[in-house]
Formats: sequence, structure tokens, C-alpha cells
Amino acid sequence: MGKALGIFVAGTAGVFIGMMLLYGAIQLTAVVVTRWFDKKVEK
Amino acid sequence: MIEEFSSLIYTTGFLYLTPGMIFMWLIGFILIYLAIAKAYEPLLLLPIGFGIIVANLPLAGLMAPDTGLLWKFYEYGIHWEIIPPLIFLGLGALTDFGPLLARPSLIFLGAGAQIGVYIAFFSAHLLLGFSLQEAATIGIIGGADGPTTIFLASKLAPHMLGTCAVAAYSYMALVPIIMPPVMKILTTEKERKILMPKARKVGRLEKTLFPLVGVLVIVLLVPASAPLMSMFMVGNLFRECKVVERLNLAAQNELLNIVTIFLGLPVGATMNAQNFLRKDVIFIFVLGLFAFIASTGTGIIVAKGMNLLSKTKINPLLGAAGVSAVPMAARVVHKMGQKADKKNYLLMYAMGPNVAGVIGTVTAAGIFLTMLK
Repeated sequence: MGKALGIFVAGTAGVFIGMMLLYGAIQLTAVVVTRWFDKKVEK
Repeated sequence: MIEEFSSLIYTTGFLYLTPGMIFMWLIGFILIYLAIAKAYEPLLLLPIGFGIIVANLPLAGLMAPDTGLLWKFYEYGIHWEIIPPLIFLGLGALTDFGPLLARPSLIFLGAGAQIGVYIAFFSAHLLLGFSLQEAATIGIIGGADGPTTIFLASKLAPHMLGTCAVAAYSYMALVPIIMPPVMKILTTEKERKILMPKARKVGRLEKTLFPLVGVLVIVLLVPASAPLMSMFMVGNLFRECKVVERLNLAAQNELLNIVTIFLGLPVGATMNAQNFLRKDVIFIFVLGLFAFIASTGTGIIVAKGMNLLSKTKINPLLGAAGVSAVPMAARVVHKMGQKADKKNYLLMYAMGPNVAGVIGTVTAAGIFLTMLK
């Protein structure tokens, strides 16, 4: 049971951590693109 | 002459038929019927059904190790990790991450649905005594992602591959029947009426960068997810960069269609009477259904949790789209929203958690692989 519980906790946490990192990366990309690259296209 | 005639009779399969084989034909015929007459996941259930029938023909030896034709498809296609990643290449080319990028917070709904996968895993191991590897393979059915289920099963529990694949694809076909009751129980009429604020427009550069950023983040976190995730993202890069249209079209049409044939047949062929006619199989189907329901439910619960923490409310029905069955789950969410309020157009919003669910399921499978292989 110990290992199953460990996988349950680590797995759930792992998926959420992955999504948090991805969320951060998406937001960062959006900021960089809209702040700098989109303006260049407009000019 | 009589001797030749009798030896000819002994070379036919008729004398070697068993009741188990005939029962497996019946299963194959049912899947083919569902595929043709009811259009239930026909692209996969039809070749799987046919694979079951021909693999249960005596003396045909299609699954004989080293020599059987379908065994070669299985060994070099699935066991060698070729076909499921190629399916993901095609899926990546078909996927539009725009709705997710427009509202990135919906990504957590894709993670929420994976809690159900782990609940089913834990239940299968603890309550029904499946080994950790078998329980993980059953749990991933809840992710509603056929290629990922096949990929994980081939690594952790090959003897359950056919059964889990059929369960996954059957439940994916039954999304419009399985999900609505769970969604109704877990949401109020008022919550189902919540209108989503207009999403921002996402530019080409952001869409092109996402597969690069996505593959870096997820594969660095869970390296075992690399075969599926890298193919998924390169397929999406083909789509979004707009300079390799031939590759994009080949990935989402010809390649995807060809590998689907070579996936379905050997998966069906793994289901021989010996493997399938066991009491465990009933438990696998029941637990698979439980996993599916649990994933739908946990997605909705996470959406409701997000509403508690955020000023901008989201429609909690969107949480149900966190299971990966793309785009069926998103369509069901949209229909439920429309039933509550005709002005409620949830389809594009639901596509966000829906594609996040694919990434979530691959991540969950990668974690299982890392911890259990």
C-alpha cells in the first residue's frame, strides 16, 4: 500500500507541477510575444 | 486416397476450434457491429474487432511469436514504441492549442481530470489486488486517451493491452452517455449557466512557440513521456509554423490513417481466448468505467475549486472536458451548457482543457512509467 500511496501522491502532484510549469511558460511566452514581437510586426 | 483426404481434414482449423475461440469471434463481431452500425469509434474498433476474429482462428498462427504477421505488427509496431508515438504525431498536427493559449488557466482542468486516473489506480491495486503495473494500466483508461493507454499497457502489462484498449475506446465512444449524469450531479443549474468571458486572440508566433516550450517543460519534468510528447509537439509545430504544409497534411491524413490500421489489428489480435476469458477482465471494464467517471468528476471539482480562488468565474462544466477524448468531451460540455442556457457557447473554451487533458494523460503515463518500470 505504501508504494501505491506514494505513486498516487507523487503522480497527482507531478501532473499539477507539470501544468503549473506549462502555465508559467505559456504566460511568459505571451508576455514576450505581445510586448516585443507583436509591436515589431505593427511597426 | 482416403489417407490424403483425412490428412487434409486434419490440416483444416475446424477440428481445433474451441468454445473460447468462438466466444472471442462473438466479441469481435460485436465490436465490428458497433463500429459499422453505431459509428462507435469506428476507426479503431473495426480493425480491433477484425484482429480479434483472425487471431482466434486455429492454426492460422497470426500471433505466433517470430513468424505470425500480426505478431510482427505488434512486436515491431507497438512493443518497439513505434506506432503510438506516430499516432501522436498525427494528433499533434490535428490539434489547435489556440483555445488553451487564449485562456491558459484552463490547463489546470486537464490536470484535475488526471486525479481520477490515480484514484482508479489506487482502487484497482488496493481493493481488487491488481499489481501496481496492472493498476496503472487500468487507471490510465480514465484519461480517455487510446494511444496512451496502449503505450502504457505495452510497457507495464502487455497481457492486458487488448482488454484495456477496447475498454478505453469503448468508453471514449460512450462519452455522450457516461459524462452527462456525472456533470449534472456535480454542478447546479446556476453553475451550468455561467457564461465565459470573451477570450483573447492568439497570434501565429505564440502558437508556433507553444510546441517548443511545451516539449521542453514536460519532457524535462517527466523524461519518460518523451516518445509521445515529442511526437505530439513536432506534429503541432508542423501545423502551426505554416511552412511545411506537406508534412502537416501527411501527418494528419495519410500517416495517421496508415498507422491507425497497424495499431488496431495487432491490438485486437492480442485478445485471444486465454488472455481475455478471465474474471479479471470484468474488473478491468468496471474499473475502467470507474476511472472514466472519476476523471470527469475530479475535473469538475477542480473547476469549482478554481472558482473559489478566482474573481472571474469559469463554467465548471469545462472541468469535464479535462479528460482527453478529443473533441467528443468538449462537444458534450458544449451541449450541456446549451441545455442550461441557449446563449452559452462553451465549445471553444472546452477545447482548452480538452487538449490540456491530452498533455496531462501523457504526463501521468510518463510518471507511471518512471515509477513502475
